[in-house]
Amino acid sequence: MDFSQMMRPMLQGTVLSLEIFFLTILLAMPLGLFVAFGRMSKIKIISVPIRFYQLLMRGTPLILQLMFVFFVPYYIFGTPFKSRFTAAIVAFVLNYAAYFAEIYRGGIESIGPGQYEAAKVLGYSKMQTYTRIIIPQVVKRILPPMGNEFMTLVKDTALAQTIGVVELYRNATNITSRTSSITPLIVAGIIYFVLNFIVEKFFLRAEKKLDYYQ
Amino acid sequence: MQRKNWIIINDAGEEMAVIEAKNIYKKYGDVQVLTDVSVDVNEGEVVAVIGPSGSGKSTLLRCLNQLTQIDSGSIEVCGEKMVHTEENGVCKYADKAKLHQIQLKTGLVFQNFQLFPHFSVLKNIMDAPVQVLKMPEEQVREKAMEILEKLDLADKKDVYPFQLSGGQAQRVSIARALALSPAMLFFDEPTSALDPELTVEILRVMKDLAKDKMTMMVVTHEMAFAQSVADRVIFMDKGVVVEEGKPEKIFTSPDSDRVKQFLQYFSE
Repeated sequence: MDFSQMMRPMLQGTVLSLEIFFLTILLAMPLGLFVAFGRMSKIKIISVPIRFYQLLMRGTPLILQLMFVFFVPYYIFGTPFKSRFTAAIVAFVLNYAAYFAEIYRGGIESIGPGQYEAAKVLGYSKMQTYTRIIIPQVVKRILPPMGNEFMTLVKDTALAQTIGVVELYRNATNITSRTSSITPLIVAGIIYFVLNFIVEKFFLRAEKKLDYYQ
Repeated sequence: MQRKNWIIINDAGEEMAVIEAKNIYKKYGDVQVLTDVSVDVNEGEVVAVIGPSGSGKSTLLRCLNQLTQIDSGSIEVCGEKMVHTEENGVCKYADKAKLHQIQLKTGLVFQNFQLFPHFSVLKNIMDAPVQVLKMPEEQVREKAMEILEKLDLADKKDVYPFQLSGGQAQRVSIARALALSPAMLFFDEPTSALDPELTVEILRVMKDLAKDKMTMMVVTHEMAFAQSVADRVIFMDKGVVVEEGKPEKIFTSPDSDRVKQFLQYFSE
């Protein structure tokens, strides 16, 4: 097997890994916002279950959650998840939304009450206060921890292989066992590294862009 | 109603009370912070509220501009009922729309400025008129620049709050409040976060506003300001108004021993 023959499935796997990455970001980021506000709610029947959900997501291994999401429907409905890929996305989104929510919450709570009061006396509605005054400041403050999560997610996509999603890592191990060469694993490592190099650059750029105020 | 400079004159051509607060009670937990406090602020008047820390001065201010809800009593702003207490003791606030309308009649200057850090100076001033009052941007910009020039800040319009000195930041926050054309301004210890030099800078601005007949209620520890600029001084202690009157009277021959005792530290 020559190098280009090896690279084909590797790149296909990379595309699948990237799909998991982007879909998770796209869905978990807004969901996390709802979770964060739910967690901060003064209404106990909202905040307590959400806290429990977050504890469950953060307190158990993601690899276990993947298995659960994939197999539990079989025990309840008698049929397993139709698509392994969808099952993986559901598990990733549920897991990452819990983490994102905590980052959002930290950011939102770091804005002092004075900013809310200033907005109120100037006549801003609650919605305007959040969209114009609070959220923009939160975005700047949460960039570093969000960068962390993004980079972790790039690597976590490899866990999707446990429920049979043939992404980058699974392709690399497949080829390795077929050819008894560790080259595919090295290549996979380089690909993960390059992807995270890009993620890091992206976040540095975003931070720089918001550097104009303190 | 028409507006001359900062003054609102009603149709009959008389000046009117901007704030009428009666029998205000307010508790935080078990602590009674305000007990039967009644205050008026008339058109064009500068009222200074002085007294020891924890006397309820700031709480009173917060009640008057809706940052805190009162337990009982009544407050009217420009003749509009913000809150009143019925005979059975139930304290009732006006509906949301009305409260919002009343909110915009008064402005508040905070001790620690509370500018929006992600907005430039000009945007800090323009954003509320544009977003809240839905005024056309060009008109707001013109007015904002006018105010900035008056407060000697025109060259800072594109700067961000972190680049301002404390005195400049406080002037921007005054400008931000003025941009909504309020009937009056509240000041909550506006100079307490500033060094003596910057304090003078801010007091000068407030003096100019007083000259323009801007109605103001100022919670302050600056006795010299209260004495020289205020038309009326209210002395509070332990949540009650102990004495109220012209500054000449309060500062030279107060009736209350508590006021005498408090003020002796300033005359030394």
